Amino acid sequence: MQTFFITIALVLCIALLIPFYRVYKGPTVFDRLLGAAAVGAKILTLILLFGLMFDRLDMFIDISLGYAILNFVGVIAMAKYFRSSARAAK
Amino acid sequence: MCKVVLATQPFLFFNRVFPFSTMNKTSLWLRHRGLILQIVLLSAIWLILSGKTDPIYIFWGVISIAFVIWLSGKLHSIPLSKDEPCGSTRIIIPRLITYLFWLVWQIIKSGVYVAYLVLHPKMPIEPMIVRFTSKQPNVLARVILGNSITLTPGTLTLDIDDNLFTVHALTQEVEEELVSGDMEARVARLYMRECEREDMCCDIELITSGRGR
Amino acid sequence: MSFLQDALAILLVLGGTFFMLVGSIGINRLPDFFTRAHASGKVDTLGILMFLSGLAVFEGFTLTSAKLLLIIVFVAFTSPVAAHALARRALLYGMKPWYGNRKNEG
Repeated sequence: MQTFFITIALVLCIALLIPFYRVYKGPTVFDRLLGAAAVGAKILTLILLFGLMFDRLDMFIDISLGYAILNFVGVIAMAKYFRSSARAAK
Repeated sequence: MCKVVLATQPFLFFNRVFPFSTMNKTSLWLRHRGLILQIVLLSAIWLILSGKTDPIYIFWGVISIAFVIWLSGKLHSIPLSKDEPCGSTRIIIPRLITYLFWLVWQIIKSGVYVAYLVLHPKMPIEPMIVRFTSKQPNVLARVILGNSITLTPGTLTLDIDDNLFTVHALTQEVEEELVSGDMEARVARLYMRECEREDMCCDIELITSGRGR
Repeated sequence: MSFLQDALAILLVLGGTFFMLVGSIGINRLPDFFTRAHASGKVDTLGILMFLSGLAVFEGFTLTSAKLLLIIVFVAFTSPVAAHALARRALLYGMKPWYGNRKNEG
């Protein structure tokens, strides 16, 4: 079971690194934000997987709950910010 | 459940005329349904998150639940848009439950569909923007419809302005399914007893090239 | 019973990992921002939901799996909202969508 989880964690790390290309390259700032949100979603699952590996899922689950809320609030706050900057540009 | 609601309508009237009548067990449920559901949900969340049943934790839980309900009671009097208060009509709970199951099925279908489009070597996508008007009964129904459009296969809500929905669709088939009005009628049926699926989606406008806007 | 539980958990975790990988590929492979928002809002959501339900099945009936259920509900409701918020802001910002290489375009 342990090796299975380690394999899954490796695959998830690859899935986490791919959107970084979009964050680096992205033609517009929204592409970068989308890539960052996708990275956050994968980190959420990685936290839970590490909790399962270290057999302390009860502790890591609260961290991941906070992380999920922070990820969501961060994206919403960024979207709000770009509204105000677009208005200022007009 | 719907039949029960219909059958207790006279009791509701009876209660309004005689507020201190003894047969107010069902009408108490009807009148304060939102409050009762809120209390049950919030206590469930508190118990799950704290995980302890000591009296001191229960005490703080009761205090925080009361605080949250006081806050959200204030929230209900704030109009969302154009002086429309939120939640003026009652949602039909059994339909909401069947709707949630349907939504889970849609999430699975949409994930598999978009994954197929991504992994297809030629990527057969023809993106387009669809604009249509859907007369939903209230603001909350519009929010539910916008969220469900994003969760159903190949469509993404871009903007909701009053009754005008702007939707980004990935392929032609997906757009036809959206325009048929099936989902719009499903969402409207959460609030209304019955509605026709042709009424729910009109004034359809397709934008398939950059010159349209 | 335990064997069945483990098998179901492994199946769900594998499916979730697969969909998250496909979501990452989609974010890189699709041509413009709005189509990328599709990949992020749907495929990733399905991946996270499958992964977390796999972990919940692995845990069984405990307080931890109840908390996992809470996270599942939260992600299922907020992930499309985040994609929608970004896409709406991009549309209002004046971004033109990519309409593909149609034949009737002239």
